[in-house]
Amino acid sequence: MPLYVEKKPEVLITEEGVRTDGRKPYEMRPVRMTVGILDKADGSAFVEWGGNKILAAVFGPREVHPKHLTLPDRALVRARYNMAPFSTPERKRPGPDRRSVELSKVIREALKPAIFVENYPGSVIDVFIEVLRSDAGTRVAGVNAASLALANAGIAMRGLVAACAVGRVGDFVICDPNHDEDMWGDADMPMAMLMESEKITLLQTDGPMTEDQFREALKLGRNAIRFLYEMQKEALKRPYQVIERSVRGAV
Amino acid sequence: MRSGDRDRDGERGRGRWRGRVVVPGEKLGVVEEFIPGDGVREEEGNLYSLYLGSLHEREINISVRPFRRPVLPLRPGEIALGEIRSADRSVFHVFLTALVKPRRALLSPPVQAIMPKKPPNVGARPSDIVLVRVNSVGNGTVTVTMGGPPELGVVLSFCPVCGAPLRKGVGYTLVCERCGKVYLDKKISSRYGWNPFKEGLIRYVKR
Repeated sequence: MPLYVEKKPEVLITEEGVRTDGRKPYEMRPVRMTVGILDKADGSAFVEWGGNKILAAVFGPREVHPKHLTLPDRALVRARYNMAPFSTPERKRPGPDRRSVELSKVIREALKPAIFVENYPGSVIDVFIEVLRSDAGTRVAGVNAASLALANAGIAMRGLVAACAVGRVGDFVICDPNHDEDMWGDADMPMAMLMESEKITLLQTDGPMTEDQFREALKLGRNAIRFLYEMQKEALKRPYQVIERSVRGAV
Repeated sequence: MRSGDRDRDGERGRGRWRGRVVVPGEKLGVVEEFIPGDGVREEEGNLYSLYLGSLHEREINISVRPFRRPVLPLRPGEIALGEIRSADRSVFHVFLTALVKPRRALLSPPVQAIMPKKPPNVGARPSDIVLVRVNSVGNGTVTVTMGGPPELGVVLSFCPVCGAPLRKGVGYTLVCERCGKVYLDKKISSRYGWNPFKEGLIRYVKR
């Protein structure tokens, strides 16, 4: 018998559009982003998004091991998404599983278009994403954290990648599904964008949506991502603002 | 810095944006306003930052200096293009700007290396553009040399008296066409006269 039994709420969203955690359909959970928290990594970031706690670290560009993976004309980008055993209500068996392997691939492909891989031939850029606490939407929180860590590592990038999930519960298209909506909602659509060029680098859907609902979800997702992008910029600039003020004050 | 951002008197503020923190992909202006320098890329007429760093403006040149400088790992034996920036009593300080063989890549930001003042390196002088071989990489110090195959050596040199580019003369001589001075002491590359500026492997020489 499982030690932890999840209980489906009676109503996921009321007719007035109030969700189980009191949010409106277009509202997000509170987000906090911090960069440069690991000394030993070349770049790092910590993202708290609702109940999610995600730590990302970037190492590189550095020598490729094993050597046969080396690409002569560009950098190899590796991403590793891992959930800590204590990140879920019931203990998760440590190590990569089918889901982690898939999410590692999805995150790597979401980040790669943003990196100037041709600037670092014959090297590797390693991205590690550790989920310390999970509460729905860990892949998009992981993309946000990894993008911050890459920028923090000084990697040449086309822009920052921001990500957010949207979903559907009944007739409502909702932004940033929580755990209950993720489990028992009708559809879930994580998406990531390169914000300056508005190019989508990740788009997955799980569950049916009409064309109108899909368009509405895309619009809602883009607005949420725009907001997250501004937060990313602010988080990256925050540690250097004192320096900026002092330099500009001296001009 | 968007186009149209100007000081109150209508002129572009000199150094107005100096030290402004920018993130990768942040729009800095348009090509009609600025000449992109290091850390700035141009796409469809717009200028964007490549790195998280501080923005530096000098006249109409803008560049972004990254806060962290990831260095492409160099391997001993690789051939790189660099500029000799300065000289100490026993070493030259070389700024490696590109890898030429076997990998071809821009080193952005440039990697600082040292070249001992021993034969055949002794004749070099600051502002020379050189092809060098990476000798050793360790403890954050890259050592290079011009010794070895004939393609290694000075590929472009300027007259220290008048600043004009030197032309290859007879044998191992370099001649200044403007002031007529002759230089005999450099190790000249078999590729002397090759213009790395045209290929974008080096942007400017500090003289």
